[in-house]
Order: sequence, then structure tokens, then C-alpha cells
Amino acid sequence: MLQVVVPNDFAFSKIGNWGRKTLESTEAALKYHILTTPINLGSILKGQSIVAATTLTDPIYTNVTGGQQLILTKQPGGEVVFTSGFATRGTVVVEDIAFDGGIVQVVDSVMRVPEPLDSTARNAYTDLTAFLGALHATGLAEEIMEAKDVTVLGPRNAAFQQLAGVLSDTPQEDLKRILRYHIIPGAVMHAWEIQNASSLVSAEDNRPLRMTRLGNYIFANSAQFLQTDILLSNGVVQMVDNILSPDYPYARPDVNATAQRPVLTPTGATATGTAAPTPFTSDLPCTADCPETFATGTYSPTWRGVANPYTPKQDAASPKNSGLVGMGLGVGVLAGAVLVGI
Amino acid sequence: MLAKSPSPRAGSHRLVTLLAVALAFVSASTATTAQQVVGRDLESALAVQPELSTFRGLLKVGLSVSYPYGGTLQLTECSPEISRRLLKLPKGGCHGKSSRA
Repeated sequence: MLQVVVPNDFAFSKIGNWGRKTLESTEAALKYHILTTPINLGSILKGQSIVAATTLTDPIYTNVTGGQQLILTKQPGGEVVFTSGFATRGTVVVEDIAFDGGIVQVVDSVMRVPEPLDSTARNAYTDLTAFLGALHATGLAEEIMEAKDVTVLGPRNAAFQQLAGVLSDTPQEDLKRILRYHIIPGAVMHAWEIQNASSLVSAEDNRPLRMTRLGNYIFANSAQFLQTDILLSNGVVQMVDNILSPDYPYARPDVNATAQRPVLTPTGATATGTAAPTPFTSDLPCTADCPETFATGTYSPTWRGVANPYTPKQDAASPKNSGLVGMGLGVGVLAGAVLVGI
Repeated sequence: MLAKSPSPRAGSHRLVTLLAVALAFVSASTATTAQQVVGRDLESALAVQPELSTFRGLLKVGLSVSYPYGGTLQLTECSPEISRRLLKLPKGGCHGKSSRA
């Protein structure tokens, strides 16, 4: 029995131009609208969220065990909302239309297939671009984006700005240790699944992260969750307010404070905000819009052994690239060109 | 005063009532778990709902979405307007890659 999430005409009208949509990506999008196990919307409690696996299992689009996921949340008012990639949300407007083989839920937005961390940070959650840049600067980005079933604790840009002085003096190997501590491999942990006083095992030498939960407030060590359950092609990101350190695994939150203090001591420049420079963003590999002289980046035009579906095609009018420039141009895990819409 | 004991006839009537309730419950449960037998396919179910024409059009461009229990959801009716608008297919092209420009 299937559960089909059907966007109504209004949902499609909001998308407008579907861009370079191919038959393959459209089929992937359709599969993302079909749940493998029907969910009785009436069984979801108000305020509760649950995850639903979809029939989208193509490795070119997803690296999540059991199929790419949608999140269902019942709002306090009783409405059920589906959440997909790029935090695209659709409210169920007609429930439980039966057909031979399943039921249909009509929603008011087209669900968007989650994309890799690179494109998600660049195009939807730009407050994660310093973190993404740091991953690229240390050569960890591709490794993390190709891993199966990951939970990423992504510090927001202000956390990097606040520690700009410290980070600029940190040797690359130490920086790698810090960044790996933000990755939980082999587990897609949604916010509602995190228990108070539990531990998660990080990719940095299996060092633990201690989780604290007080009602809706969640902390990893002393870093507070700011935005939760940002779906990725290979897991989920939880945006946090501070950079974690594997050398301070026992840092605990001050639950009475309005903002948590960083575990590393700020030195030098600590200005935050859009006017202040954002560390590591210059390490983001270039997209098709970059000048030809830009020569960094390690992005591969292939992804898990196949052509990267997120790589924008270069049209004839674009400058020709070669060598490292070409590698950088591949990046784009998006550059706005791809999968516009879904 | 002793309570009047129920007659055997009254007992059997109660048993029948209980059985009827149980049967009703079982059949209701069965209906819930076997909603697939409703006498209409997905296309028919969507057709009776307003404002689902775009999604129906998407299904009509020849895409096949596998059912987990075998068979495919493959509709043959063609919708050139939808396919042109959403998939940038050439005029009249509604059946997948072979008809793309």
C-alpha cells in the first residue's frame, strides 16, 4: 500500500520555471512524493514530528538508508505539514483520498528532493557557508558529503566570526579534528529523537558529544541547536550556535543564559554580523560564475561513481575551463542552475 | 431477594450480539488495512479532485513509478501542454526520452 503526496496546482504555480529539469530528475521527484509505508495522519500527536521513508532510493539522489526522507509534523492547530529539502514545507489540504493500492494526501507545496550539504548551504542556509568553507579548506567536504547516513552539527557563521582570530592560527590538522567532531556518522538523528543526557559518537576518533534536552531546547555539549532537521541528500544538519571542540567534551550549557559561550577563547577579531568578514567563505570552491583565474577547489564532476547530478552544465557562452579551474567550476553543487524547484 | 437468573435464550441472544459486534470490528479493521480495494486507480481518484491537473499531467508523460508489490503506475494518456510546460519537451512529446529534442 502506498501513500502518495500530491501537490495541487497552486503548489506547482509557486515553482514557476522548472529550469533544466530532466525526465530523470522529474521521476526522482515523483518518487520522493511516494511513501513506502502509509502513515495514518490521525495517529500523529499535536506537536509531534515523525519521519517517513519515500520510494526515492536512487544513489544518484540519495544516500540515506531505506530511502530519502520526508518529515511530517502535526502543528498545534492540527494541520499536518510535510517538510522536504531546503526546508520546503507543504501543508496537507485534503486528507486520505483512497485508490486501489493506497491513499493520497494533497499538499500545497511541491516537495523538494534534499541536496548535498554544499548546495544546501550555498542556496538555502547561507548561515552555514563558513562551516562549509572550512570543510573545503581542510579537504573534508567531499568525504562528508559522500558518507552515508550522517548527522552534521553545523555552526552558524557568527560562531566562526567570533573565533576568527583563533581559527586563523589553528594548524590545519587541528582544524580537521575540530570539524570532524561536528560529524556523527552512521546515524540520521532528528531533533525529536535526541534524548536528554544521551551521547552521540563523533567522527573525530569516536569522541562523544553529550546531549542536553530541556523541553524544546537542545544542546550538543554547550552548543545550542538553532535550526533543526535540515534535510540533506545523505542525512540531516542541525545548525548550532557555537563551534564544538573535541578537547572540551565536558562543556555543558548554561541553560539560564540567553546565549552560550564558545568553548574556545576568542582572540583578535570577534566581530559578527554581515558587515564583518566571514571566515573560510573564500575557500568555497568556485562556481560557474567565478572568474577564470580562480584556482582552488577539489570538487569532483563525478559523485559516487556517476555523473554528479548537481553539477551545472556549462553553456557555450561560459569561459572554457581547464585544470584546477575546471575542477573548481564543477563545484556548484548547484549554482542555482540545478533542480530548480524539486 | 435473589436476582433473576438470565434465561438460556437471553444468553444466546447476548452471544449473538457480541459476535455481531466482533464481526463488525473485524470487518472495519479489514477495511482500514485493505483500502486498496476501492474500485478506482490513482488516476480516477485524482480526477475527482479539483486542482490536481498538473500532477496528473506529470503522471501522464510516460513516467513509470514502481509499486512495491509489482506492477507499475504507468499512465498512457498524453498531456502535451503539461509536458511542454514542466519538462520542456517539444510539442507533442509526451513519452519520455525518445521524444525529447
